[in-house]
Amino acid sequence: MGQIFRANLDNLNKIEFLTGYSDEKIEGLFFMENTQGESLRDGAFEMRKNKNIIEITFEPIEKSRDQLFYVYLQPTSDALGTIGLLESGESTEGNLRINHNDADGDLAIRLGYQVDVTPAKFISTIGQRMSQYKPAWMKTPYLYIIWGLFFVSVIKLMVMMIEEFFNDQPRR
Amino acid sequence: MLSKCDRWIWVIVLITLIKGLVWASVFPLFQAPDEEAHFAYVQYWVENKEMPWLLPRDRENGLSKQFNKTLNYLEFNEVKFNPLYQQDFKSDSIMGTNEKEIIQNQLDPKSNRGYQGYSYPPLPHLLNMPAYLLFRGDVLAQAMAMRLTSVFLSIITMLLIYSGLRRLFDDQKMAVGTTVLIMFQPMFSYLSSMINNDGLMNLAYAGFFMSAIKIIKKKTALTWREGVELFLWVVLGIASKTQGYALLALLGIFILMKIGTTRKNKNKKYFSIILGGILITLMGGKFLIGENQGQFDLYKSYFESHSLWNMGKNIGFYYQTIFESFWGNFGWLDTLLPDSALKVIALIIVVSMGGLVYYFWENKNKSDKAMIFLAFSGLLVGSLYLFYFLNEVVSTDVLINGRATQGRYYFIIIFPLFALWIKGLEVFFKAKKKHWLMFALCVLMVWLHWIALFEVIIPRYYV
Repeated sequence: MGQIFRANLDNLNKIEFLTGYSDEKIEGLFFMENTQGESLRDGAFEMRKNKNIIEITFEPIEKSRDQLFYVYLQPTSDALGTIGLLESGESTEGNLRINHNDADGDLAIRLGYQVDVTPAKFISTIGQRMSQYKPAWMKTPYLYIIWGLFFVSVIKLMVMMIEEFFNDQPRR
Repeated sequence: MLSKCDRWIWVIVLITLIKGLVWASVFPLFQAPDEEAHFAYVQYWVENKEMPWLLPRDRENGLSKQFNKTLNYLEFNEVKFNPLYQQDFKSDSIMGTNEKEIIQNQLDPKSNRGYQGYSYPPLPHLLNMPAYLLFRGDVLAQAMAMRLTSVFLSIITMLLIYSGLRRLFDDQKMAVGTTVLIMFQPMFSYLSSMINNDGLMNLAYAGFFMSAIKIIKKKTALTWREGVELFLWVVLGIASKTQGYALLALLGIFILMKIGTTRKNKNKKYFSIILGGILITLMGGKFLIGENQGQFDLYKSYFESHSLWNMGKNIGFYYQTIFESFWGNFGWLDTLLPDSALKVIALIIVVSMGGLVYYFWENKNKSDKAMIFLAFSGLLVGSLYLFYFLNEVVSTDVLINGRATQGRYYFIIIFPLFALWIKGLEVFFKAKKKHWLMFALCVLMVWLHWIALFEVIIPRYYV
């Protein structure tokens, strides 16, 4: 079961495949090639029973931005029929979406990249995304205030519990 | 200066509120079980000035055009059914790609093509009306405000739980610790911050258990006032969600357990026996007979090709699914906790069960009625689902059971479950270092909470 896709960024290092639920453990091999058929990465994968996502990780492919790749899975266990199904109420045969663009293929996949970001940049990006599709009073900076208060309150709770639980002296 | 007791009440209120805001903010709107159905119910009721009462032909025909369009803009189906799919985020703005269109979408919310009503009791939706009306014209704000209504209900629930645990445990620290455990249970935190009718139902059950423990501990005969108090919780539960009916059976058990204190008052004693018996028979009959009515032939044909062992295996798997969904599985595709965490939790519970069995055996002559009542409550709710599962096994023989994936339905007994587990662990570890144990468990639960937020939910929706 193979899939052609285009990577959006450099340092592609992970692909997740969405399958139907399997009531058996699925094991197999994966192979990744460029459009010239040259092998880039390969390895083994497994998906435990009653799960539905196969994740493969590999050494980052440095210059992957806007490149086309071909990846395919070769199950080695008996449960061959379950890979390639999309758990969805909508028909997706021959119509896969990756990052909101139509692409050919049978497999639903999501790509991961090794991206070096500072913690501040990471938090800023998550905060920005979390703010979207929310009312004004749930966007940044209110989000930062809520989450900040959450961190502080949990730490305070732990401190209070330590004082309370391990101090047998009566409080004045 | 606040007393020790008051101090923890404020801590519970504050942390439940802030935690609720965090969970309400982290999940994309309408991505919780049936959130869109509950929102549509409130919208229909307010805009059409009548309660929805017919099932729609399909989901799209049951929603207003405004709401249907909003869900399309939010990529509702794509995100819900595909765990690899994320909303279309803008990289340079805090407004989403289609957010302006959602806000400007002022299609008449009365324009339903059908009705939206899933036989929900109306009370939880009545409570959500203020949120809907306050932010009329902004559907995103309306939905988020309804989530906050659930958060406020969860604050009351936690206070009722804490109050009940204070009465149950002589040691205040054990009550505080058990409350913290429940407060940070990931699935409970999640469901307490979403638009649903579970919040009010869980509140009713928490109140019932709090009152029941208070009355049991008094060791006197049940007064009429106390009977009314319990009955009001039952009414609230039934008015919240259909699972509220199990409170009738719990009330029946409670009444029968209190018979010993009414020995001298023969009228009260006989009334208690009759009423308790009726309530338990009614609910037991409803589930056992109601679910399996006319199904005898199915059982017959099932056992022609399957053994009792096959049936037991399937049912065991359903209960395993309930366990997973109680702790970390939110329904259709995803999970809040990794398998390794579930295994650790399962091990702790098994150890706790061992301690609990030992406790009841050692105390069989002393009769800790409060714990016995909680144990009966847990067994009752657990066995009610057995009747559903039996029917499912013989009629479909499939492994994935829709009801079993709704572990949230077990939150009605979150109070007895955690109280029993903690008691079992206390007994198992001989209670000498129970405060250490309690603190360690709280640290573990807070850590699981962290995992759910930072290793599962945020990567799932935003990374």
